[in-house]
Amino acid sequence: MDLIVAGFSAVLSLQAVALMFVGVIVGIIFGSIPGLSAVTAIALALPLTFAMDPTVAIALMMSIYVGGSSGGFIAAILLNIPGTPASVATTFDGHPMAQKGQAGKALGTAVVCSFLGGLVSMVALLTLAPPLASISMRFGAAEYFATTFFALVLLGGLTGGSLVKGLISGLLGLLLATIGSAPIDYTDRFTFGFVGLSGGLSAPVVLIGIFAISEVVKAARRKALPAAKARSMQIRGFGVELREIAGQSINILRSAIIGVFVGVLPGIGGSAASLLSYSAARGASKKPEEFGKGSTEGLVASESANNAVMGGAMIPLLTLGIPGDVVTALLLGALMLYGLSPGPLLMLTDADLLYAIFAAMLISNCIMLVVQFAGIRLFVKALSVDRVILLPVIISMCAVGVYSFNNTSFDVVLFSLFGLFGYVCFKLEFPFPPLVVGFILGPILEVNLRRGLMLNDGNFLAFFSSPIAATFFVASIGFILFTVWKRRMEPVKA
Amino acid sequence: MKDILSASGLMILAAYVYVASNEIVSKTNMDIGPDFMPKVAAILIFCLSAIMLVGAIRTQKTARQDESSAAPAVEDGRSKLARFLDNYSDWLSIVIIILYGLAFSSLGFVLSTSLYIFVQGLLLSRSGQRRLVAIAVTAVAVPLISNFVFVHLMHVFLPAGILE
Repeated sequence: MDLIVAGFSAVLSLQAVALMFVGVIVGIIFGSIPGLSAVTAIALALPLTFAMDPTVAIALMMSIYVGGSSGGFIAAILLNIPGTPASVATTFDGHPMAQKGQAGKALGTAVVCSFLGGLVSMVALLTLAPPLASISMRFGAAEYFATTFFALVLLGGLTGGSLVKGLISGLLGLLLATIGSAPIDYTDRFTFGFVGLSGGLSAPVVLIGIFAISEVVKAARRKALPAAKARSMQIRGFGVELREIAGQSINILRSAIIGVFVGVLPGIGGSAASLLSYSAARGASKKPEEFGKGSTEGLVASESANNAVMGGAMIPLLTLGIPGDVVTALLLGALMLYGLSPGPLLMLTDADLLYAIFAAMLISNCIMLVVQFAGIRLFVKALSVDRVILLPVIISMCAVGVYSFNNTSFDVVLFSLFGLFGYVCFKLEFPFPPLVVGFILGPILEVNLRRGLMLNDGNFLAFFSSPIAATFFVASIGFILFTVWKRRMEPVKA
Repeated sequence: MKDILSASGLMILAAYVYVASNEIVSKTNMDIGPDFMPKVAAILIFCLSAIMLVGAIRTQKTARQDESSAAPAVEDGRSKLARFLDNYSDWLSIVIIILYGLAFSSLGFVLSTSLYIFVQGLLLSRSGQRRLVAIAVTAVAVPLISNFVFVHLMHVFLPAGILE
């Protein structure tokens, strides 16, 4: 208890709180610009923190991380462009809500759920760190493959129209993920002699290209282009009844738990967490047909989960020294620069700093709530900006984001080509969500399948000998059978 | 017809990916090599596209009947250019964005973005809603301001192109 109090008092200085405010705002700005993310913001802020006290510097880093993780929903809801890959699922229902004149409600729901998801994950970080880290240590290739396979099967349920087109879409995503160096042996595949393709297609290029450009092109197709009207411009409080949010407690808790667990597993990330929670919420919903058309449940699931990833991702970083994604890898580097060595010994040698990190995250989460609360009205006003002006500006900002990710113009060309690809898919009625899911989960699936087969002399049945993997496989088969049965029953009902 | 074309195209793509996967030379000797996943995806895409093709051919007859009963296009009073823009503004936007992507490095961020915002703005503002001044001001101000903010305040490197 003394350590917790010490942690809070260390980051409650005027300087630390002021810097956390700045960090949260910068994080939100970077998170809301498609292509830019907390990674860029942390990388840019890192050199500025060298002269700071380590505790204050860590507090600033955490605040950028928290702000960046939550900022992605703004563009996702208002423009149907995910600000970060983790907010892909937010576009499914957040944007339809905005189109129905419920932009304020959607933003308010996202703010509150981001806060609650973050809160659950931080409590998890404090209490569940040791046991969760030990469970994740038992995850081998078979378990990772089974978990990812389960996620892919579950997310197959995202297909609204033709099942065949949905599956083809997912497989196209999987195929796109094979471009570049193959996992394990780093053999180049489908690079067509372009050095820029050796590292594979980066997520911002594909996601922003498909989502952002297709939005502008769809807008160009419309004859008149009025500014979108937000009918509920008079927003009271958070723009959403807190009673309504309270009614979603189970959804929030389930999504946050999924987020924490996915966050603990290295390399899966917030996008998979939000998609998985979205799918789980749809499965548990009494109104699954409303998903994709502006369902509050879908938005709640996505936003609770992607912010819950933060606490989860910090668990292996702080307890084992294993970063789960690029942001935590950068944070690991930052912590080492401040003379700390994350890992099992951190709890013994620098327990006070460990609790300062926890306190900084918690305080930043509260600051995020305040900043976003104040910002909702500003964000909704963005809707009334003339789209003739706004959309080209958005595309140019996306180009900056894509360019700055790897500092290469080749990515900007790819981004524009993915716009063409996305629009062709849209015209031919191939859904985007399975494509995105296949692209994001493809590499994880492939690397663990190949690794697992290598470890078991090519015997796939050995994957079933792991109880964890077997459970996920059985659950996947059960879900497939249930979906087939449900689809067969639907025409009978009709 | 759209589905028949896309299914056929996908089958050709899948066949190409399968053949091209055979050309992948692994750097190590493994039972499950780097060609495994692309081949699996290609086979599955081929099979699913074949299912889609069969379904599309079956429904084509009904679609033809619908087309024959559809009302003929009515000539309106708009100019050829206005009709062309209305019909192809989406594809024109794609072309503009691809040209922007190609010019991003050579012309530089400021110049390419100015041109892009101006041309895209004009295309979006057709239908008698031309706001030339607003678009021109945005096309000049946004690239200059964002270049200053990104390059000088955020230290994000952007290509200067011919303005270097």
